[in-house]
Amino acid sequence: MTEGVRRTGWSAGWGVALWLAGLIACGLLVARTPVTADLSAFLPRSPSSTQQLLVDQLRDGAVSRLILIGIEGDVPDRLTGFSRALAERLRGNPLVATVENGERTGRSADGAYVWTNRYLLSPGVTRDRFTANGLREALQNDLRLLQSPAGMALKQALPADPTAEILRLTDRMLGDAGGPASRDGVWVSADGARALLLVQTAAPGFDMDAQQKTLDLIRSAFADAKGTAGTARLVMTGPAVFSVQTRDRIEADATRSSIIATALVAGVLLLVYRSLRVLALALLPAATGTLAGIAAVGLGFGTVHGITLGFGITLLGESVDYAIYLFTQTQPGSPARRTLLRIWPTLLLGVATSVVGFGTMLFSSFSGLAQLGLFSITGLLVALAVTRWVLPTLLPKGYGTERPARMAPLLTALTSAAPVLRLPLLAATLLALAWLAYQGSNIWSAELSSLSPVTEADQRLDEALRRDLGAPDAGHLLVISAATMEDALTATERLAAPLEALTRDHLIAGYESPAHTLPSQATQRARQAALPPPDQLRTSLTQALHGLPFRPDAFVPFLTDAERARTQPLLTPASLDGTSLKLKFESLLVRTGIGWTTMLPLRGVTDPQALSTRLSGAPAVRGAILLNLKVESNNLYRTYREEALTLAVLGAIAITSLLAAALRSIRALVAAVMPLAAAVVITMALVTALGQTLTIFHLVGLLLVVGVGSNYSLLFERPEPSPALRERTVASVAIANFCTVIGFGTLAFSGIPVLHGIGMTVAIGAFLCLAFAAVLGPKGANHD
Amino acid sequence: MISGNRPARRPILAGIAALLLAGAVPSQAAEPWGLEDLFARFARIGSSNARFAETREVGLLTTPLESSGTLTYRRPDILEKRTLQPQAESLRLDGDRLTLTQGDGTSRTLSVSAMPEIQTYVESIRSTLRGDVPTIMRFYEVALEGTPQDWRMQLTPRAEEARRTVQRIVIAGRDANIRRIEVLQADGDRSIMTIQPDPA
Repeated sequence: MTEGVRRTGWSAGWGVALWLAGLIACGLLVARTPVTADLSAFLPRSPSSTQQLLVDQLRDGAVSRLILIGIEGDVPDRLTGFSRALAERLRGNPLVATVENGERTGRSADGAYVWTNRYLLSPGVTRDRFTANGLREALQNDLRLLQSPAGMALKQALPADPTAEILRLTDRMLGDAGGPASRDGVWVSADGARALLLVQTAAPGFDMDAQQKTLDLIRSAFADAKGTAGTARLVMTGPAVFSVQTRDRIEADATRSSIIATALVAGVLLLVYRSLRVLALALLPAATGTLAGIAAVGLGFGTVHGITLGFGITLLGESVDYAIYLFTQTQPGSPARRTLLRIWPTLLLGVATSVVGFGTMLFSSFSGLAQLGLFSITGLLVALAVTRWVLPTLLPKGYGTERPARMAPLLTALTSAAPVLRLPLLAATLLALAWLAYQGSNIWSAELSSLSPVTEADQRLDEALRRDLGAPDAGHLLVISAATMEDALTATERLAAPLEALTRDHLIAGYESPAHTLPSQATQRARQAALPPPDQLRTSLTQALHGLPFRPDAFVPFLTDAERARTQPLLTPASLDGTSLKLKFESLLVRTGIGWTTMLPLRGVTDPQALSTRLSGAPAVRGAILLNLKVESNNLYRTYREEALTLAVLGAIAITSLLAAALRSIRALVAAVMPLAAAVVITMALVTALGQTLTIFHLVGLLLVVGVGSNYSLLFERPEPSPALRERTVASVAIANFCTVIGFGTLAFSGIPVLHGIGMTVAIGAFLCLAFAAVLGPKGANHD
Repeated sequence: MISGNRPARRPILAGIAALLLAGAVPSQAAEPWGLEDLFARFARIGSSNARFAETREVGLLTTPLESSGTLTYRRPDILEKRTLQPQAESLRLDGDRLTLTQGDGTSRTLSVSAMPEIQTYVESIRSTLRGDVPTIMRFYEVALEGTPQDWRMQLTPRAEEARRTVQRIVIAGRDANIRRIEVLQADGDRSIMTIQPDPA
C-alpha cells in the first residue's frame, strides 16, 4: 500500500486516507443509529392539529397499545383453561397494564372504584332523584327489575343502591354491544373455536423494544401455561404485534435481499472479470456509499427507518455501475485513470441527474421520504467519489479487461439492430399511455394501509379477533381542548347532552369519555350537593316506601353509603391508581403543548355525514373537532402521495433541465430523455396491469429508474473515438444493467409490499431503459 | 333424609345414566324412559306458544311479586317472555343476546354467556326446549323422575359461581310441554312459574 501511495503521488494517498477515515467515522455513526419501523416516521413532520392528534394516536394512543390474543386449536374446555392460566401469569407484570379475558377477578379494582364512588360518577345523581317522589319512582322501577331474570343478579346491589346508579354506570361502560361471548366465564369467539384475551401494554405503541419484550413475555407465559398438554396455539394481532413483526421482517428481508443480491452481483462480476481483487474493488464504492448514506441519515434524523434501509441497500444496484463502467471500459495497456478521465463527464452528469431527482425528496414534509432522499444522494455521491479517487489507486498496475470485449460484438450487433423496434416501441408507449389514461386515478392506492407491510392473512386474523372482541378500531373521535385539566373535563361534560341525543337518534351507538371515569371537580361537587343530609334522606325514603312491598329496614346500607358519598373527598387522577381505568383515562385526556385535550371515541357511527352535520349545528359542541381517523389517515396519505407526485414531477423537470444544460443540444436532449420517458410510462403500465396499485414507493422506484437509466442513454449517446471503445461502452452498460436488475429483482421477491413494489418497478424499469436506449440510440453507430 | 346418601346420589346416577344412554343403542325393555327420550320429543317441536303466571318470593319484599304474560319459542335459539301484568315488559333471547325491554321502551342488551348467573337460568329452559342434551349436561347435574306424562327434572348448576346465585331449578311437565318452572336461589328467594300451552 505504501508503495502504491508513493508511486501515485500524494493526492491519491490522501484520497485513500480520507476514505479510510470516513469509513471509520461512518461506522461509528451507524453503530449509534437505532433502526425504527413505526409507520409514523412516514407521517408528516409539521402536520395540522388534527393530523397531529392522529399521529399521536397512531404512536401512543390507547389503540396502539392493544394486543389482541386468541388461543385456538384445541377443545373448548382446554382453551378456556389456558386463557385463565395465561391471564393469571400476565396479571401484575409491570410490562402489562391490563389483561382482560372476561374473568371478573381482573376487574375487581375497577369494579370497586365504580361501586364505591357511584354517587360522584353517575349522571343520575340530581336533587330530584333523592326527594320522596324521586325515590318512589326508583323503588317502583326496582320492583320491575326484581321481576325480570336480570333481577336475580341485580338485587344484591339494591339495598345499598335503590336508585340503581351502578346499573346506569355499567350500562354506560358496556354500551350496546354487551361484550364478547363467553364460555365458563371466559371470552370466546362467537363460534367457540378461540379463547380471547385483550392485553393493554404499559409501554406506548412506538416503544418497539418494550413491545417486543411484552410479546416475548406473552409467548413464554403461554408456553408455560400450556406445558406439554394439547395442541393449542397462540395467535396475536394488534398495532404492537404488527410493528414488531414489520421491523423484524423488514430487517430480515432487507438483509436477505442484499445478501442474495450481493452474491449474485458478485457472481456476475467474478464471471466477467475473473479476479477476486477486482470483484472486491467493484463492490467498494457501493458498500462505502451505503455506509455513508446510513451515517448521513443517522446524523440528520437521529434514527434510520427500516424501509429506508431496505430500500437503500439496493442502491448497490446503481453505485456498482460506476465501477463496472470504469473496469469494462479500461482497455489493456491504457491506465484506468485515462478511462476515468474519458467517462468522467458522463458519469458526473449521470450522478447529477440522480442527485437532482432524489434532491427533490429532501423537501418532502415526510421524514421517511426525506430520509430516502438524503440516503440516496449521500450514497451515490460517496460511491462516485470512491470510484474517482480511491479505485484507481487500488487497481492492479496495468489493469485492463480482456473478456468483456469478447461478448461485446454480440451486444453491439444487438444494439445496432435494436432501432428496428422503434415503431413497435412507439406503439407500446402509446398503448401504455392509453392504459394509464383509461385507469385514471385508479392506479394510485388511496389508503394509508397500502403502505402497511402487514400480510393479508394477518389483517384477516386481526379483523376476526376485533370482531369477536368488539375491540375499538380506528373510528371517529370527538376532540376538545382547554387550558387546564378541569376546564377540559368541564368542556367534555358539556358534550354529554348532545352526545346522548345522538345516541337516542341512533346516529352513534355510544361514546366513551374521560369524564365518565373522573368527572370535573365542579360536577362532583354538584353531585355531592344533590345528596340530602342523613335525616332528610331518611324521611324521604320512609315516605317513598309507603305502600310499597319492601321491608322497612331493607335500605339501611343505602343511607350509610349516601352519607359517606356526600362527605367524601373529591376524586382526583390519583384516585384511579391501581385500576385499569387509569390507563383508559390517561389515553382519553392527554397533556398537549397548549394545555389539555380530551378525546371521546364514538362507537357505532353509521352515517358519518349526518353525524358531522348534526354536530356542526349544535352550539354546545362548539370548539370540538370531529375526527374521522380512517378518513383523516387516508387524507393524510393522499396529501403525502400528492406531495410526492409533485416532487417527482419537479424532479423530472430538474433532471431534464440539467441534461439540457449539460448536453446543449435539443437533439441530444430528446435522445437522452425519450428512452427514460418511454421506460417510465411502460413500467407504470406493466406494474399496474400486473394488479398493483401505485404507492409512494413506486414513485421513488421510478425516480431511481430515471437516475439509473440516464446513465445508459448518456453513455449510448456519447460519440466514441473508436468502434472498440463503443463495444466496451455497450458491454459495460449491459453488465451494469444486468447487476441492477439482479439487485432489484431479488427485492421483488420480498413479501413486504413496499420492498416488493420498489424491487419490481426498478427491475422492470431499468431493463426497459437499457433496451429503449438501444432502440432509440444513434442508428448504425458501429458503422462509424 | 336419615337414609342419607341415596336420594342425594340419585341425580348423579340419573345424569350418568343419561350420558350413557346418549351414546348407547336405543334402550329396550328395562327402562324405556330417560332424558334422551324426553329431549328427543322436545327436539321435534319447531315452535311453541304458552301463557305463564309467575310468583316470586324475594327477601327484600314483604309480599310476593305476581306477574303474567306469554312465552314464545322458535327453534333453535329464540325465546321471548312477554310480561303483560302488572307492567308490560319483554325479555327476548336471541342466541347469546338477551334484550330486556321495559314498558317505556328503554331496552338493555347483554351477552348471556358473560353473566353466568343469568346464563344458568336461561339455559335450563332453552336447552330443554331445544332438546339439547349435551348443553344441559354441561351446565347442570340432571335428575329426571316420573313418567312421560308427568315428569320432573331437577337441575343443579355445576359451576360454583353459578351455584352462588341459583341453587336449584326444577322443571316439571307433561310430554313435550313444560308445565312448571321453579327456581330456588341461594339466598332463599324463589320463583314459581306455571305454564299453560296456548291453544292458539
